[in-house]
Amino acid sequence: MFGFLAAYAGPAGPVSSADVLTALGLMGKGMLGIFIVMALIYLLTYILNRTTGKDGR
Amino acid sequence: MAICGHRGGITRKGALQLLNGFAFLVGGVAGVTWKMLVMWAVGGLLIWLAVKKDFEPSLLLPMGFGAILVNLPYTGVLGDSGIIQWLFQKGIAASEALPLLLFVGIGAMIDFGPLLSNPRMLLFGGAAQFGIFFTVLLATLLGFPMRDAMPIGVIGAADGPTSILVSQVLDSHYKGAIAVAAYSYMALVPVIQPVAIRAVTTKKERSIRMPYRPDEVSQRTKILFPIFVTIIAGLIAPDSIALVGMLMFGNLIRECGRLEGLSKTAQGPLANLITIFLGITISFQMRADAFVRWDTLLVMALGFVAFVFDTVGGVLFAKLMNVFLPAGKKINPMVGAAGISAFPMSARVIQKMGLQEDNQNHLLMHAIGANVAGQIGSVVAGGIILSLAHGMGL
Repeated sequence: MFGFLAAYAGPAGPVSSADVLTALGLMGKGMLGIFIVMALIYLLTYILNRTTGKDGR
Repeated sequence: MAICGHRGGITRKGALQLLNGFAFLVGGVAGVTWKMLVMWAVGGLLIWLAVKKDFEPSLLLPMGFGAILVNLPYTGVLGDSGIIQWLFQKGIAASEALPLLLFVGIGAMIDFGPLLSNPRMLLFGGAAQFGIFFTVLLATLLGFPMRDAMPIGVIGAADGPTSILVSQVLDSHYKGAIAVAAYSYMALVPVIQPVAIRAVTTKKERSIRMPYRPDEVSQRTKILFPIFVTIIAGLIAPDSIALVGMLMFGNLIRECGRLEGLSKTAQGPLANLITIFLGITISFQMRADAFVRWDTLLVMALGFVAFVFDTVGGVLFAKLMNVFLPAGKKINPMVGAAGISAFPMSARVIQKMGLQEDNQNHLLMHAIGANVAGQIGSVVAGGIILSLAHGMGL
């Protein structure tokens, strides 16, 4: 799919389709990773708000 | 006249000998290169931005002065006995101590209350990191190696210490430019964000009202939150633990209710002291030979793109959520843009824009919730970038 990028010379250096695929993979994994962490913190906050009550104030 | 002629006491030969004797005084002048002059101008610009425009003065001023200091010929602040080099080696290169300790102060400054009472804002702290990964892709397309592309993307974290840390750990060639870009654009949030937000929202969307009905948050929740967040971040993204851990440690000091003195010290003297030394230490990376390169401009441009796409990512995610939310529960998409780490500038921008569209539309507390979520999101993103880099053998 990214074969057209093979051996293309960017202004800061050569670019290969493998580099582009790696960067796309990073984007997918990175955003997924962040959302997993944030969703877990969301869940944690929800549970804490439900279980600790208002009496600890 | 006496020097040039014979009528006075000194001959021409004598005058030349006298001048040669003082040649050491002009050695420095002769050592000035055009690259040093460029860096003096850069230093002057940073000081001007700090003093005249009030752009992140606590960091841009030390960095600007440091840029001049390290770019003087035969400067005594570099070398084995140079203070700036020593500060850099001990304070940043050895253990990232300065940026990490600054997080203790930042953590002590943050009130997670608005986020804890409205935890869905956490999702914007994730979505608004999109610019980081988009910019990594863009930098790769421009030919930057991954070692440089990743820290360039992290400029979009809108989080100076995280940008510095990631660029140091990955040993990027553009550490100085990345630090300058991270802090400069953070100061430019009030300029960058409104343009980016208007480009992807309609007036109707910007006018969506969001009544603020916060749930009460117990102190127990506020104490347990930093502890559990540290554990979650440590288990999912171990490389983020130094950043998240220090941030949450500072917050625990604040919220425990027993360490008011330490909390005030962390928020004030500790954060101020580290800020003074961090700014001037970072200038070690602003030596002319490493900084004055045409691709430094490219790095600065990519940092700008990262900020824009962070904002766009947050806004578009809010619009996506609105597809599934019932009428009356819709989110003003501008709040999503506050999911970046630039606190509290971003929240203030959203509040101001909300009032411009509808003078009864107060979005501040929602935006603050998203903004503090962005503080967590940015350090987690930095840690995830490091984990991915280590996974690639960098």
